[in-house]
Amino acid sequence: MSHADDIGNLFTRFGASADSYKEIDTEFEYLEPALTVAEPITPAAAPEPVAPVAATLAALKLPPTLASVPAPVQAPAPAPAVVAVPAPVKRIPPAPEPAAQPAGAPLSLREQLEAAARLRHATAQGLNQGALEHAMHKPAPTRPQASIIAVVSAKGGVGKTTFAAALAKLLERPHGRVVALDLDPQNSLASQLMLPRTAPGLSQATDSDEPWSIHCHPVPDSTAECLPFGHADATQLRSLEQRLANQPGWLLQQLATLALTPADVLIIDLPTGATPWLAPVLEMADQVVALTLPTPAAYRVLDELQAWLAPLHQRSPAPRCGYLINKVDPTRALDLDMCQVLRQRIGRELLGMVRLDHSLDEAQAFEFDPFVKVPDSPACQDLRDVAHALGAHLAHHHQQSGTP
Amino acid sequence: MTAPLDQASAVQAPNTVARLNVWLERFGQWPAPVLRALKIGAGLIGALLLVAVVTAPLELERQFAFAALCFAGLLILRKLPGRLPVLAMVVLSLVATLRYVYWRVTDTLGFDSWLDIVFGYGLVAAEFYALVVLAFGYMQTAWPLQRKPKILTQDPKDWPTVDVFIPTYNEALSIVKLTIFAAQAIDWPRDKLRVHVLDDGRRDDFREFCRQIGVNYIVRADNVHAKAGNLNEALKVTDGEYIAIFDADHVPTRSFLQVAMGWFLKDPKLALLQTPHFFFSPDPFEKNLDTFRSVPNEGELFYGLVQDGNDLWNATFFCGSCAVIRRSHLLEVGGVAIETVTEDAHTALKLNRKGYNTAYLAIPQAAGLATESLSRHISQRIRWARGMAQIFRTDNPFIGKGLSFGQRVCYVNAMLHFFYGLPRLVFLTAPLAYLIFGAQIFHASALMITAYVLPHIFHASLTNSRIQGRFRHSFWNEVYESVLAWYIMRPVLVALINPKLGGFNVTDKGGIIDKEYFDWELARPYIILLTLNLIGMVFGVVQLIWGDPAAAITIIINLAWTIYNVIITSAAVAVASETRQVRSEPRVRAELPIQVQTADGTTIDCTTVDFSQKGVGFKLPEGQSLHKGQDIQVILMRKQQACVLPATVVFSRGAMVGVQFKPLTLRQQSDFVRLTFSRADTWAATWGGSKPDTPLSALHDVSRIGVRGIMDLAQATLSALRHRRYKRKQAPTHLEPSLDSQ
Repeated sequence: MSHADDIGNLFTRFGASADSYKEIDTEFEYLEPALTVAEPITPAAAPEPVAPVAATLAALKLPPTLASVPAPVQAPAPAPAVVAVPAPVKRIPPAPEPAAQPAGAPLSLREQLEAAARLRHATAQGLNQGALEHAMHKPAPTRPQASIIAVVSAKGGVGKTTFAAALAKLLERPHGRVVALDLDPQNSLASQLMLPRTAPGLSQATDSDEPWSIHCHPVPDSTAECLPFGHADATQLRSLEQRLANQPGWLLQQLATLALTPADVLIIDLPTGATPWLAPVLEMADQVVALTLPTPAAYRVLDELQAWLAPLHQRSPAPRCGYLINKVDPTRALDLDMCQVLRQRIGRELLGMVRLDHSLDEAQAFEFDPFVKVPDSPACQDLRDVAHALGAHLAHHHQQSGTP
Repeated sequence: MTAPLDQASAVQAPNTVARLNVWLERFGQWPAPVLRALKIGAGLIGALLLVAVVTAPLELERQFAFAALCFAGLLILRKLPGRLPVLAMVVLSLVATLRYVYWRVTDTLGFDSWLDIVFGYGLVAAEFYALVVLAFGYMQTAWPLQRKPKILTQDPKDWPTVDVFIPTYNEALSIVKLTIFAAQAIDWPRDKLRVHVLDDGRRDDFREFCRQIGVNYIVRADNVHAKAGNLNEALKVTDGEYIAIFDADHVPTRSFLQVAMGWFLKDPKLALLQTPHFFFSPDPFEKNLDTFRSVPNEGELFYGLVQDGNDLWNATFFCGSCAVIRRSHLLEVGGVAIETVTEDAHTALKLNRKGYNTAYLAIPQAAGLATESLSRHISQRIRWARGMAQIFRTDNPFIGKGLSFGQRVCYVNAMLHFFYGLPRLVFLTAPLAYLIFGAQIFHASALMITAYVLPHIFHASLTNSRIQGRFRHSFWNEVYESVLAWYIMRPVLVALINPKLGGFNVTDKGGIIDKEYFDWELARPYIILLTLNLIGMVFGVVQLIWGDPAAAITIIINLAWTIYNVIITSAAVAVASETRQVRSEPRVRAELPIQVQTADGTTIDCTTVDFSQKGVGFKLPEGQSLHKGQDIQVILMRKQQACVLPATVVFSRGAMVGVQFKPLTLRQQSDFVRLTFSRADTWAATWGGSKPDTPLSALHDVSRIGVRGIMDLAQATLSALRHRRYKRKQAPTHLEPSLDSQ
């Protein structure tokens, strides 16, 4: 039983042990009077109605337009409480009508991203289910020798890219490289790592039939490297996916061009949901990090996520799977309760929690490195802990697999 | 080579103790009658020796030599740690005092004129009073029990039910709220803790607030018998096994019941357990003299020492708040006593008379607001004094059944204490009888007086300084008493003559003094006393220079006494100069970890400097800054749950920032109270933290304040002369009238 320090302080004054103290900690239900105050005290905890999303996938994929949209300076007060995805995944949402958004309030980046991701996820779903199952049975010919960390999620907007970027910066390899690979057509990993959005990536390399490695850029102020997705239009995307489907060994060939050694780490940022990329990447991963949110919506798609990862346990050697709960708002009882539920559900595979932190949005908006400028912000602290744990595990794993 | 020797002695010391213990044990095994005879024998021999020492006639030089010897012994004893030296000091002090009194009665009372007789016997009576209070006080405080809490070992489901009573009459909801939230948050099983707000003001906002947060709200049809009646009515409609009582402005800590209840489960005859009244705001003395937390305040002696001493004799008083009472015992004495205006002490007396025990736990587990202004402080003390005098008359502890001798002494001394008004005034004016009127009130040579008085004074001061050190500084007692003397003298005398006269007044707290002013009306008695003493000083000096050289020493003695009186009265005058109170919410100093979040998402870990109901002050880490007017969120952690309070920066200088909360929801208010005022250790940490007493520096402090008092007075006089008309219009109101007379 743990005791807050005040009891300890008091009890030591008269030479007793605080262990005999019973924390009762009753929760009270108050009938809050209608607030007569002018300014709202805290934003209502009720789920914000999700405004119909105007942005289309195509619009999202136009890097120049998006880059020119100023990131919202005002941190979106608390995280949009529940991202309303009432019926998860399976149903293709009706194409949203444009424009019906609150006057004057441009949709936040995250909302746009989420909407886009949902749309993409839904359309990709049916298309790729077959491909996924097909691919799962095919052993990969040669897998890169590096340790591979795959970052996945069943739901958009959970912070995959942010996490992958943070991991790339935080994983220190004394004798090896850290390469962050973006397989997400949103192509946002590059900007997270302070590279220009226009930097060419695997999409350009594929177009010109060159090896992916030629677009592997060093990350500014870091030892890590980044292979962006690069800008791709719908045709390019389709051709990429076709290639992936038709040439089973193609992905591995391209990764081989990176010439990774066992001392290296490859972090792969996967697109949301069951895309054609998912199966081959999971196949080669040593470590899967599955991100989720402490929200009911994310909880409902957790089945999906667990279903993808379940086959991995039968593989030998089985890759490690770890779940990470992102954007936990400790001020909300709901978030804490959701964490509790998730903890019970996930059990030992829970890798950790990352607290909601608006300074990460700030960092993106004003293009600074949060780990340098606000190193003690809650999320930075949590991310460091997670990266540390992963790094330690990889080193261990590396040692074990290096012996034969 | 010394090491083995040291070791040997170290080994020997426990041996000696062990041998002593064995002896004592063997001693204790003797048959009871023998032990009794031994004790009586030892007591008789001691008493005879004391009589011999006290009455032995000595001439001047020998008396001086004896006094010097005793004083040397005192100086040595003073430095020895432990309780036996204290008892030895007490004996020496009593010897010196009794010798003085014996000599005084037998040798100095040959008065010639009526004037001498009046002044002379007046002084003797006052001295007698001082002797009795001194002796009783020694008995009361020589061996504080220092009771420790009994830790609850039972399963929480076996803990008893407790009704928490919060009687209120006219205190503002904003103040009482704190208490209610904190009472609700006491760590006690929810189904066994019932909070009742007893509103004698029958106010709608109270009713509504209680409904919103889910505590019981009790009203009654009339206000008969004020607080005692209020409590008694509530007893009828509740049924918990125990009752915890908190005045409307006493905020309990969350650990209150778990600390206080253990003894009840241990001792089935325990009827009452009292904890200290601790104040987180300065009382008028502390405020006007700027001595908050540096000089022990008026109440600290009582709760730090007197009650702890009473506990040894099983004579702890109930003080009306911050206490737990067992319902069955309370009902047996007919509920809370209603006969007097100090229902609390009287109830404890009744419980003790019934053979039930009362206990004191010197751990502050609640804190409240001290009275605001001097006039309110004085009205409160008048009530106490009147009530104690009423009990003394109607239910005198020295007579009647059921009390042990120790209990009788403790109760009587508590009542006698409030009779200090007249004797104090006598001491403050006695030397004037000689200096101004030439009355020979001391029929003895000056040197003889010195030889007897000085040992008495020095022994009494040093012994008290040793006993009370942490809880009362030397000379401050005189200041406190001098301020109140005039005001409590009359009510006490009236109550002694007719205990039925007089009413009950509630001390209203939590207001602000919006302007600085000199309280002329209240200060009038001290100004008169000060003026008289100054006149006496002038007379003395004149006589010393131009008068009879043979009387020089007598004049000097009287002059010294007068100067001392001038110091004390001028310090009393300083108290009447009310300082402006800037904030209506007193701040509590406490270093608690908090986080501050700005609108851009930056989270800063910092430590609070102080907090109040309306805001917090904190210190930013290096390199961070906030600007005035900025909106931020203050985050306090309770376990993993964060309590977020929106606030606005109202003050920012360097690293120091003060923020004021925006309107908070009930939940936020409750969380804030639980994380600040309810903390178990805040009050205990400041308790008894004043620096120990050293008589000389205390005298220096008091003198400095005296000088300030004279300057304040001079300034106030000047400005009063200048703005005569203005002042008259602004005459401040005083001594709030009694609110309900019985």
